[in-house]
Amino acid sequence: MASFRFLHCADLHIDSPLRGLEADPDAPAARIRAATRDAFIALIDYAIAQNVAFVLAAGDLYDGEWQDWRTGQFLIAQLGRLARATPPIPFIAIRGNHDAESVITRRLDLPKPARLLNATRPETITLPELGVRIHGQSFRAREVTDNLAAGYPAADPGMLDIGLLHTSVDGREGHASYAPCTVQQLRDHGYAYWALGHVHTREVLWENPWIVFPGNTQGRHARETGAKGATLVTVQDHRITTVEPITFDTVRWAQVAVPLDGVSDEDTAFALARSHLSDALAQAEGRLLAARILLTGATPAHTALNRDTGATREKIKAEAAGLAGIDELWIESVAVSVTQPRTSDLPPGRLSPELDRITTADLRAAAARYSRDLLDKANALREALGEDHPAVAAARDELPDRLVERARALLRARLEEA
Amino acid sequence: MRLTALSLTRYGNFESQRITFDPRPGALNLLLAPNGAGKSVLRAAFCDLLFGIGGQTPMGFRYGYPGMRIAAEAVGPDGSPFTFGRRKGQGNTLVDAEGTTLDPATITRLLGRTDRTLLERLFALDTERLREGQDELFASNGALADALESGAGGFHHARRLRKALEEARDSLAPTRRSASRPFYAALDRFTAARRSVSASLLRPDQWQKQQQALDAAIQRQTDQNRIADTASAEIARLERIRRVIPWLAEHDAAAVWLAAHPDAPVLDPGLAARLAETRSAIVLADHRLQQDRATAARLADQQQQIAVDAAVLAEAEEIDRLVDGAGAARKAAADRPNVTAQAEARRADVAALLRDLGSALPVDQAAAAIPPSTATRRARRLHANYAARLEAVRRAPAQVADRERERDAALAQRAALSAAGGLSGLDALVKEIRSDGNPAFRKRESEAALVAATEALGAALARVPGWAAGLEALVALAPYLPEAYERMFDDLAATRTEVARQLDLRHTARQARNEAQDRLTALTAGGPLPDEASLAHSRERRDTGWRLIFQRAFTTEPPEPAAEQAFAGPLPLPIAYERAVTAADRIADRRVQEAASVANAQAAQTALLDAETRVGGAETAYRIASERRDQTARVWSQVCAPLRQGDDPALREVLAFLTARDRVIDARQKHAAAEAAERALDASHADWVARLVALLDDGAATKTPPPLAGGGWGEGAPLGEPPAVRGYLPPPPPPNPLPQGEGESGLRAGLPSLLAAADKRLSDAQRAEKARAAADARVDSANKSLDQARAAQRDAETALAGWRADWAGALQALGRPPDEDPDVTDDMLQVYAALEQAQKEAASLTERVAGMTRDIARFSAATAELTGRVAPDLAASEPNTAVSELRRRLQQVREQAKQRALVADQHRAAVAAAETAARQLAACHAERDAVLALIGADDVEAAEARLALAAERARHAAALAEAAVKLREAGDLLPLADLRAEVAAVPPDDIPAGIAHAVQQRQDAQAAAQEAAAAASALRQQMKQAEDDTGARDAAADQQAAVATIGRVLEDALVQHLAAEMLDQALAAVEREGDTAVLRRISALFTRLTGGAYARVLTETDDLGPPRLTLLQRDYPDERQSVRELSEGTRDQLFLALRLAAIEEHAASAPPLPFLGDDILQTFDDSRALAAMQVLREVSETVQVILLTHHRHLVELAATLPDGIVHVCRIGAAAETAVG
Repeated sequence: MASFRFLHCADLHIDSPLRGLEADPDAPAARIRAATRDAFIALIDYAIAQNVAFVLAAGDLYDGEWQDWRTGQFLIAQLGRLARATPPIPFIAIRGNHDAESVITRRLDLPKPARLLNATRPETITLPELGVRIHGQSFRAREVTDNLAAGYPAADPGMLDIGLLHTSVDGREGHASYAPCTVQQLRDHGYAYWALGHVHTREVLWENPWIVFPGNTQGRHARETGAKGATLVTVQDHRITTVEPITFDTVRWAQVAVPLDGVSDEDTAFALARSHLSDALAQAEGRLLAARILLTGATPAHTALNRDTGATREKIKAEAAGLAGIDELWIESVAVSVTQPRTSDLPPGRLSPELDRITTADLRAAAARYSRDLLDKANALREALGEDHPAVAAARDELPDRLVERARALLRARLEEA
Repeated sequence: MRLTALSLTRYGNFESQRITFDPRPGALNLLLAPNGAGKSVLRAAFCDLLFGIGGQTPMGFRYGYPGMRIAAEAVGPDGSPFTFGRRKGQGNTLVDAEGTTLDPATITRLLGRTDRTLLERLFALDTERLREGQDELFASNGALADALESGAGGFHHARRLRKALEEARDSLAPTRRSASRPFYAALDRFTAARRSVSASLLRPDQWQKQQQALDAAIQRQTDQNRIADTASAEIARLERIRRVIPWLAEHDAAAVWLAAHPDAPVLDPGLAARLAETRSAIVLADHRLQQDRATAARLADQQQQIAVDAAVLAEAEEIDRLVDGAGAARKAAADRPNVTAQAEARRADVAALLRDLGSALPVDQAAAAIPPSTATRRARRLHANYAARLEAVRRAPAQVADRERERDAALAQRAALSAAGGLSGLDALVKEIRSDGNPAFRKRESEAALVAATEALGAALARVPGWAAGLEALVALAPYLPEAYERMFDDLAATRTEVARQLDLRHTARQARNEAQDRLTALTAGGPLPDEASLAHSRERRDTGWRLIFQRAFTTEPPEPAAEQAFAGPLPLPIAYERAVTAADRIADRRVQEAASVANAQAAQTALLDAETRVGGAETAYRIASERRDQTARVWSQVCAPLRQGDDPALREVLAFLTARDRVIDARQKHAAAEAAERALDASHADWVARLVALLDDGAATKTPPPLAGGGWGEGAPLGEPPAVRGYLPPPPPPNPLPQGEGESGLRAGLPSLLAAADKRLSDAQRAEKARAAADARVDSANKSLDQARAAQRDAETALAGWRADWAGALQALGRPPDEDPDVTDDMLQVYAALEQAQKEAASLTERVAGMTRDIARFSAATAELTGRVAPDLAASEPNTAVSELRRRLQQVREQAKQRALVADQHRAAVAAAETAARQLAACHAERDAVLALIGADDVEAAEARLALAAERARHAAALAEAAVKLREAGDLLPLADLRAEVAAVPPDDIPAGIAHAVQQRQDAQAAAQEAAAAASALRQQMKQAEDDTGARDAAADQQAAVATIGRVLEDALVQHLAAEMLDQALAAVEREGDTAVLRRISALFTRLTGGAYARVLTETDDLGPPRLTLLQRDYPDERQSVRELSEGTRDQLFLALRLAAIEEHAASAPPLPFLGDDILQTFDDSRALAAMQVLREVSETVQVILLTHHRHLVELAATLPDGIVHVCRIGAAAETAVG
C-alpha cells in the first residue's frame, strides 16, 4: 500500500461569530469576522499544498440555527477547490449536532468527490487505491443519544478502517452528551483511527488505535484558547505512523493570568500585565491575539485596582496599545480578582466584621431581582449571554461566589479609600 | 510601656532634670510645677523621646543643641525594666543609658501603629488639644469614629459610598430604561443586530427562487435569439436576390458583345500610352536642339568683345611684391631717428662704466676690459659660499660643548637608577590566576550558581505535590518506572471500565428481565390461559359425563349415584354434562383462538427464564469485575502509598509527582555539583593566596606579611571553608571583590587584594625596567650627538681652508689683487656684469640703424625699375604713390581676364548641349517606329483605330469578369444556377415587403431576447451582490459585540449593586446593635466626670455634614443639648471622656503608652476635678497617667484619694511625696 496522508478536522463552525469582543471602531473587524472562514481557507490551502489523500470533517461544519445560504456557498466554493485539485481530494464529512437540522445542509449539493454521509445508517466510503474504508453516520437530529458507533461495520483486516464520529465519548466536561460511547468500545471496534468531533479542545484519547479529537479550527471565545487547527495523519504501509496537529487559526485566544501577589503598586501591576501580555503575544506567532486578562493575588495595590475596574480595564488596554497595534492585540476583557494582603494593617472599624459576615446567600435575592429586571428587558437576552453569565446565574438564584467576592473587594477598596 | 523616670539634659529650660514616676497600674502621677517651670517642655520632651528630637527644635532656646539629650527609664508590658533615650543629631538618634545607639526597632515595638500625630492627639494633651474634640476623633478612623457615626444613626461616609455605588450601578444599567446608559445602548444595538441578522439572511429558498428566475430568463433569451436568427436568414436570402439581379444582367450583356466581335484584337493596354509618349518626346527633343544652337552663337560673340592688358598682367607678381614691401619701408623711415638716439645713450653708459673700472679703452673696445665669463661665474659662486663656511667654523665649538653637557647629564641619570630584581615567578603566578578569570567574579559566579542551585532545589522540592517529608526521604524513595505506573493505572482503568461495562450489562439484563416479566404479566393479565392439561382435564370430565349418561341411557347398569354425585354435584346429570361439554369446548376454542397469545406467553416465559439466567450471569460477571477492580485498586493504592498522593491518586498526579521528583533529583545533583565547584574554587583560591604571599614576601622582605587566617575571602570565613549555603537558606552576600587598597591593608583583604598587590609589584617593576632602558638610550644618543658635533667642527674648518685656496685662483683669473677683500671683489664683479650688458645693448642698437637705411634704399630702386617697364607715366611719382597706382591697374586687368574666361566656358557648354539634343531627337523617332510595329500599324492613324477596338473588347471582358466576381460575392458563394433559380422564384416586386416583414420579426425577437438577457443579468448581479453581501455575518458579529458589552456592563453593574447591597446590610447590622460599647463607655465616663449630671452621650447626623454629639441631662431626659450649649468646664469634661474612651480603645489593639495631661483639669470645679482624678486612676489600670498642673489645690484634692495611689512630684524644689 502506498504511503499517504489525510487531514482530520472538526467543528468548523463556519461564519459563527467570535464571542466576547466588544465593538470598537479601531478593531480589525474584517479579520475577526472572517476568522472561521480564513481558518477553513487555510485548511484547504494546506490540503492542496500537501496533496493529502482526503479530508475528514467530523461534524459541525456550521451552526445549526444559522440559515444564511452564503455560508453553504462558501463551503461549496472551498470544496470546489479540493475537487479541482490534481488529483481531486475527497472531502468526507458527517453532520454533527449543530448542523444536523441545518436548512443549509439539506439543500447543499457538495461538489464531487466531496461526500456528506448518511444520517439514517452508517455509511462506508471505500478508497480501494489506498486500501482505506471510511465509516461514518451523520446526526439525523440535534440530540442523538444513541450509541452510533455500535452500529458501525466491523473492521476489515485487509483494509485501514477509519471511523468518523461526532460524539462526546465517555462524556466531556462542558459538552452535551451526544452519540455516547466509550473509549474502550472504540478501541475494541478494530478500526485504526477514530476521527472524532464535537469537543473543541484537541485531545488524543488513545494511540493504537488512534482516537483523536482535533479540536475546532478556530477558537470562538475566550475559553477556547491556544492553537487551533486540524490533525494531519500519515499512513505508511497500512500503518499510521504519525499524528500531528496543524495550526490554521487566524485569531488566537488567550487567558492571561497576572498574579500580583506581593506587587506593591498599580504601576508595577500594569508593567507585570504588560510583560505577561508580551509573552502571550509572542506565542500567538503573528496572529491577532484576543486576550482575557485576569488579575489575581493579594496585593497592596488592590485598592487602586478594585475601586474602579473600568479604569483598570482602560489602563490595561493602554498597556496593550503600547505593546502592539490593535490589529495584533485585542483585549477581550479584564477581570480584577485581587485581594488585600493578609498582613495589611488596616483599621478594623465596625463595618469590617459585618462585611465579612455577609454571605452569598444574603445577597442572592437582591441579585436575582436586579438581574431579572434587566434580563427581562429583551427577549433572548438570557440565551445570548449564556447560562454561565453571572447575571443569568443570579437570576435563577445561583449567584456566583466569585461575584460576591469581587463586590466585597470593591467595597473594601472604596471604604479604605474613604 | 510605663515610665519610671524621665531625665532631660540641656533641653528647653532644663539643664539637667530627672523626674521620677510611679509605674504601677492604678497609680496616678501628679506633677506640680508653677507656670513657666517647664510643663509644656515636659510634654514636648515626651513626644521627642518617642519620635526623635526635631532638627530645628525650639528646645534649644537656652542651652543650644550641643549636649541636648532625653533619657527615660521604663518598664515594659511584662514588667521588665529598660532604658532608652534620644540625642540631638541626624539619623538614628535612639540611644541607651550609656549613649550607645540602639536599634530603631526597639522603639517601634513600643509604639505599634502609633505615630507622632496620634500620640499628640491622644496621649500628650493640653487643654487646647483636648478641646479640639470630636473633629479629630472622627478623623482618627477606627472603631471609635465608627461608633460615634453609628450612634448618630449611620455611617455618613458609608451611606455616601452606598449612594455612590448605586449611582455607579445606575450609570451602567439602571432598572428603569434610559437609552443613554451603556446597558440600554448595547441592548438597542443587540435588538437592532438581531433584526438585521434576520433581514440580511439569504435563505436557501430565496436563493433557489432567484436561481429559478435566472434559469427562466436564460431560456427565454435563448428562444428569442433562435427566432431572430431565422428572421435574419430570410432577410439575408431576400437581400441576396436583390443584390444579384443587376449583376446577372451585366454578366449576360458582356457575354453577348464578345460573342459578336470575335476579331477584335487583344493588345497591350499600355501601347496607346506609349505611342502618345513617343510622339510628345519627338516634339520636345526638336525644340531643345534649336534652343542650344542659338545660345552657342550668342556666347561666341560676347567672348570676342572682352580685351585684356597683357603687359601689366605679366608683371603682376613683381607689383604684388612691391606692394608688400611698401609698408616695411615706410616704418623703417619713421623709426630710424629714435633708434639712433638710443644707441648713443648706451654708448655713453659704456664709457661711464669704463671709467668706473679705471680703464682708458675707447667705447668701441670696451669688450676688452671685461674678464672671461667663466672667471666671473666662478668668483660669484665662491663668494656665495664664503659666509656660510665662515659661520660654520665659528659656531662649531659651542655646539660641541652643548653635546658634552647633555652626555654628562644622561650619564648622571642612568647612574641614579637602581638595579632590576627578578619577578618572573610572581608574574607567572598572576598569569596563572588571571587565566582562570577574575577571581572575584569567579567567586561571585560560583556563589550565585550555588544560590541558584539551592533555590532551584528548594523550588523543585516545593513543587513536589503533597510531599512534606523532606528532601532525603524523597530521594530515598524507590518508585517504579512511570511505565509501570501507567501499566498499573491502565489495568485499574480497564477494570473500572469493565466494572462499568458489567454494570451496564447487569442493568441491561435486569431491564430485559423486567421487560420480559412485564410482557408476561401483560399477556397473562386476563387470567391464566388454559394449558394442555386443562384442556385434557375438561375433556376427560366431558367424557366422564358422557360415560355416565351413556351408562344410564344405553346400558342396563346405571352408574353409581355417588359417581353421578361426584360428577354433577347438585345439578342434574344432563345439565352437568352439557356444562362439561361447553367448558371443554370453551377451553378448546380459547386455545385455538388464543394460540398466538399462548405462544407469546410461552415465549415470554422462556425469555424471562433466559433473562433471569443472563441477570445471574451479569451479577456474577459484575461481582468478578468488582473484585478484580478492588484488587487492582488495592494494588494501585499500595504502590502509590509511598508517594503520599492520597489513597486513589490519578495517574497524572502520580506522573506529576514522579516528574517533580526527577526534577528534585536533578536539582539536587546540580546543587551538589555547585557545592563541589564552590569548594574546588575555594581550594584553588587558598593555594593561590599562599603562593602569592610567599612570592610577595620574597619581593618585599621588609614588609609585614599579610595575615591569611581569614582565608581568601576576607576575615569572616576560615580558609578552605567556602561560604556555601547550608540547607536552603539564601546565601550571605558575596564579599566585595574589589581590592581595598594597596600595601598591607590590601594584603589583609585576601586574594583580590593580594592579586592587586602583586599586580602593583609587577607594574612597579615594569616601570623601573622601562626607565633604565630609557636612560641607556638617552646616554647613547648623547654620545652620538657629541661625536657628530666634533665631526661637524672638523668638516667646517676643512671646508673653509679649501675655499680660501679656490678664492685665490679666482682672483687671479679676474686679474684682481690676491689680497683683495672678497666683498670688494664682489662689487667689482657687479660692475663687470653691468659693463658687459651695456656694451652688448649699444652694439645691437647701432646694427639696427644700419639695417633700416639699407631697406629704404632697396625699395626705392625696385619701384623705379618696374615703373620704367610697365608704366612710364609714373616714373616721376614718389615710390609709394607709384606702387599704389600699379596695384590699382593690376586689379582692373585681372577682373577683365576673369570675365573672358567665364564666357568661354559657357560657350563650350552650349555647343555640347546642342550635340546631345540632336542625338535625343533621333532616338525618339526610333521609339515611335517600334511602338507602331507592336500595334501592327504602319502609321499613327491606323494604330489609333486598332487601339480603340482592342479597348472595347477589353472593357466587355472585364465587365464579364467583374459580374462573375460580384455574383459570387453578392450570391454568398452560391452556384450561378442556384442564384438564377432563387431570382426566378421571387418576383422582384415582392422583395421589399418580404425584407420588411422579416426585419420586423427579427427586431421583435431581438428586443425580447435583450429584455430576457437584461433580466438574467440583473438577476445575476442581484445574486452576486447577495452572495458578496456580508450583512448577515456583520450583523451576527454586531450582535455578539453587543452581547459582549451587555455582559460586561451587566456584570459590572451587578457588582456595584451587590456592593451597595452588602454595604446596606452591614450598615443595618451595625445599626441594629444600637449604641456601641465605646459610645456607652463615653457616656459612662462623662456621667462620672459630671458627677451624674449628664446621663448619656448620643451622636446625630444628617446628610449635610459630619456627625455631631448630643448630650442628655439626667434631670431633663427629653431635652437634647448640643456641645455648643455646654459650659466650658462641662465641655472639657466631655472631651476628656472622649479621649479616655479613645485611649482605652487604642490600648485594646496596640501597645499602651503613658497618658500625659497638661493642666487639663484647670476648668474643673473641685468636685469634678476629684471625680476626674478618680476616673484617671481607673484609666491608669490600662495606661500610665501623668497629670501636670500648677494648681496646688489639686494636690490637696488628691490627698482625699486612697493612700498610695497618687504619686506627687515637684519640679525644682520639692522632693517627691506620696499623698493620700
